[in-house]
Amino acid sequence: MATEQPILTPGADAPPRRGLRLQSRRVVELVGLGLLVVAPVVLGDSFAIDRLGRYLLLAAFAMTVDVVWGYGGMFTFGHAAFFGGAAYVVAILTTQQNGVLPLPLWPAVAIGVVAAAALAWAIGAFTFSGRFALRGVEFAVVTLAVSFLLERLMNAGGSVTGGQNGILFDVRLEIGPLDLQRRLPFYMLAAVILVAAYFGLRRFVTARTGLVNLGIREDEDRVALLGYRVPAVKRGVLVLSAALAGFVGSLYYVHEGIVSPAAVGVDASTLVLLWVVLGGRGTLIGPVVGAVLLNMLTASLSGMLLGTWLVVVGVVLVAVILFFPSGLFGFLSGPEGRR
Amino acid sequence: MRLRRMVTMAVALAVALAACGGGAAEETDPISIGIIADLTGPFTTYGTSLDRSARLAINEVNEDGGIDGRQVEVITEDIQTDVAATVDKARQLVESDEVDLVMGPIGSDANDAAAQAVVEDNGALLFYTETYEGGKCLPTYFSFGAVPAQQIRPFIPVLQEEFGPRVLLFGADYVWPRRSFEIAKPIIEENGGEVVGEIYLPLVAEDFTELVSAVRDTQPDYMFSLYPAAFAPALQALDDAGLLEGLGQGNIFVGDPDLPGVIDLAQGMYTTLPYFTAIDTPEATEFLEAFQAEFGEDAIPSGGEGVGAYVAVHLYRQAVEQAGTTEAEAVAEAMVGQTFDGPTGTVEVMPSHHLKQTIHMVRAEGDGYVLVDSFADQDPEEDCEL
Amino acid sequence: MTSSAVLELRGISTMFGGYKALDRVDFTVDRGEVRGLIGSNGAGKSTLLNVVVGRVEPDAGSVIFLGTDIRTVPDWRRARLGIALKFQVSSVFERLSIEENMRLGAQPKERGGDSNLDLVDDVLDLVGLGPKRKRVAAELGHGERQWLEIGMVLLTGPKLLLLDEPTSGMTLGESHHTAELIDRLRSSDRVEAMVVVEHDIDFIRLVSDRVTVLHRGRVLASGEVDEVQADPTVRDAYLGRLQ
Repeated sequence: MATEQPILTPGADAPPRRGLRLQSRRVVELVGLGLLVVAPVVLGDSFAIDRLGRYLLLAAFAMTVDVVWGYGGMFTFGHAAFFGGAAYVVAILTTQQNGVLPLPLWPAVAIGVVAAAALAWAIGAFTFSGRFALRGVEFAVVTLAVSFLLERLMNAGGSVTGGQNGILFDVRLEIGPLDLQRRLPFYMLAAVILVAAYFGLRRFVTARTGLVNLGIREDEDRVALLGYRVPAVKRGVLVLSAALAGFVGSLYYVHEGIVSPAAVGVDASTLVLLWVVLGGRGTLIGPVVGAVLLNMLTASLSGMLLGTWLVVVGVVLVAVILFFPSGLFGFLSGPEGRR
Repeated sequence: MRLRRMVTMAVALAVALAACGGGAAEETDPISIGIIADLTGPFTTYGTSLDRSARLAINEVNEDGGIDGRQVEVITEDIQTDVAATVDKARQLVESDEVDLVMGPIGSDANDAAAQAVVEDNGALLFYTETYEGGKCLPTYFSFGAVPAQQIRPFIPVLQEEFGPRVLLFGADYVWPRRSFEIAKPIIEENGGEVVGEIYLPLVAEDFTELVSAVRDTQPDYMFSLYPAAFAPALQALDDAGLLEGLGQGNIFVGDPDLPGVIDLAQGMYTTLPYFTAIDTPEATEFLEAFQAEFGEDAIPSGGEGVGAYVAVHLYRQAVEQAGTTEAEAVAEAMVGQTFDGPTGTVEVMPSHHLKQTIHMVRAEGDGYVLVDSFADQDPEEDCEL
Repeated sequence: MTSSAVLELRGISTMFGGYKALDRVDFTVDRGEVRGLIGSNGAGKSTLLNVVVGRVEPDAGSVIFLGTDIRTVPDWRRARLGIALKFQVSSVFERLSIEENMRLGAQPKERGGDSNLDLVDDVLDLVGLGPKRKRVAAELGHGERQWLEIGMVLLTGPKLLLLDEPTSGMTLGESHHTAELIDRLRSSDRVEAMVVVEHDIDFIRLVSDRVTVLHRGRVLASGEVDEVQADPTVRDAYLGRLQ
């Protein structure tokens, strides 16, 4: 992937406009970066910083869903299977005592990422290729089933998966002597990961395969008859997304200190869809903002309005969709926003 | 237009960030207690009761001059019957709101998460008040709900005398039922009973044919159950198979709020828990009246946490006054050995950080529970040396 | 065996349910030829094209492209071998820009594959969509969509170009432009042969050398446009006398 060059050239024949022409996306990116840097200073409270760091990892998760759904048109109803599934692998590998186990954190994370990628590969092979090639609603159902079954499996896994109680982590987020488990160090880790993931995914969606992904969203048959191996491309995008989701999910749950069956289940898979819709599908930035804002809203309201906060969150969601049908950042989803 | 939209959004984001960071430090004078309770989601009934019981006790303490002259403030956070929310709110209470004590949660998965966040990560005090499987052994963690041994030890002889020696163990497939039955088996054998079968079904099952077969094949005198989610359908399945009639019922989880759902199928069923509204001692009646005066005549202190949270607050007050500080480890040390005359009997904090307390036994008759017996000073029998 | 045939269909039959969409069809297109393909609705024209590109698998017969039997070659690989189809219902990528549409046709189909990205500007000019390159495809009118799709598939560098109703939804002026486009392609050295499916016999006459008439899945006639038009069985088919 590192050798892929972005292929969209700046516009040659764009109609002349008055004044300085700012690219919308650049502006939003700058504002976003600025906020990321400024946030710890504004917040002050180290718990609030820690919590924001958590939201940044959830935002990265939302981006992985956007790549598959917003850009690729593959409605994924089970992405928590990758996000939480990798975390489970890490938990098991770092807590079980058996021969070469327990492993240290980072090798376990690497294996977790591979596991998530492998699961995605299998789902892709099953639903995109051969006789059982499925599309649209059917793919969503398969992913839903995987998420649902995985939650059941984790619940029934006895002493291996901790059953309903899940697994408590005893490793911490550390790189050498640096303890990145909580507060400002954690926030910085999360921010770096989010920014790196964002720019990495941006490169992907503007490069060759990213464009094919967009085409597949519109019309798979047309793409196939241009000479692309559509099933392989879809599977590749799913695997990439799952691997990144697994990486981010592993760190997220180590930070939480515990991973339990809800981490891979349908509720978690559905919640992330809400963030993506709210923020704007096919924009990358939208889902980031959607994830952060909605989590912030939920956390503060559930503290202030005990019992009724759910209703308020619901009302806010409906209001946003009414005024911004394509999401808050829907205006970035066209070709302009892709540059 | 676009630019305006973006500026609006940036401003909104900044405002939201600022609002989020508004956790100002608490004043040093009052003592603050944080409650992590499920106020939404499947555990709403229990979470609400936990919050109410704690607040009832805190109001009493405050009216009585507070703890060492200091008033007690309460912050309740809704953990939404969700482990992730539990971690978040527990950390918030300890790290941002800087409470002196955390009380809650309900579920044992949330308990694991809360213990990790409160006790292991931050060395703060956590009081768990729900009936659970036991086994938690941490320096600043205390449990006030019932644990299996104290519910089961006085229970088995009664069940055996009432129904017979042959017992089928029926549980949901997770740690609470499994550990409870592990503890139950030697007790049953000591009493001359016989475990004829042991069956586990998923927490929310729809198909009970395995259970029906087990009852049919093993022909127990009574069924000993710990199946908290879909108990009514399980009993219904047995009834449909004609196996419910004549089968004795004993359980350690069906509290007052859960009874209406099963009462028709559970006539003659025995239950042991620390609290029932059927307990009619003057102290228990007074407690219930105060509870309902505060929270409405339909409010019920439910199951283990009905009085657990209440006595926990009073014990905390005693420990803080004895230790002369709210510092977690000092309070933890002072907690051990504290006794309190609660609404349902005298309780004592054991060195294992679990509670020796009175366990009450009821039987389902007509449309409610009838108190059959009370077993004072039941030892939690927890293996925990701190 | 050197032959001047770019495409050869021999005895192609295909059934949909109990219905014979194509019945022992023989169809040959030679190098340098623009072949018209006409017939009433349901005659099997689009089905024939779909058999060529691999969207439909025939029940019998062989498909020979540049001397090679491609029966077992999957659709995407046929496209890479040099067969391109403009769909009957014009299919462009609605939410992508015109430029992005073109690039999908031009860019390498796999890592290290051939690229025609340097030709995008030329093709944009060829189909007359240069000034609109930044616009989103959904904004295009019917006629422009056809040209966009033609440009897109052209950029895959096809040897055999199949156009399924390239003037549908076009005004007379637009149709003429399309005819010119086809003419220019005929004289280019990359496209070796074309098949144009149309209802409009005058358009066919304008662009084709020879024409094949399909009726109910069978080849009714094949030859020079005037000959075919004079053929009584063809006239009868169009007037409904043949069953």
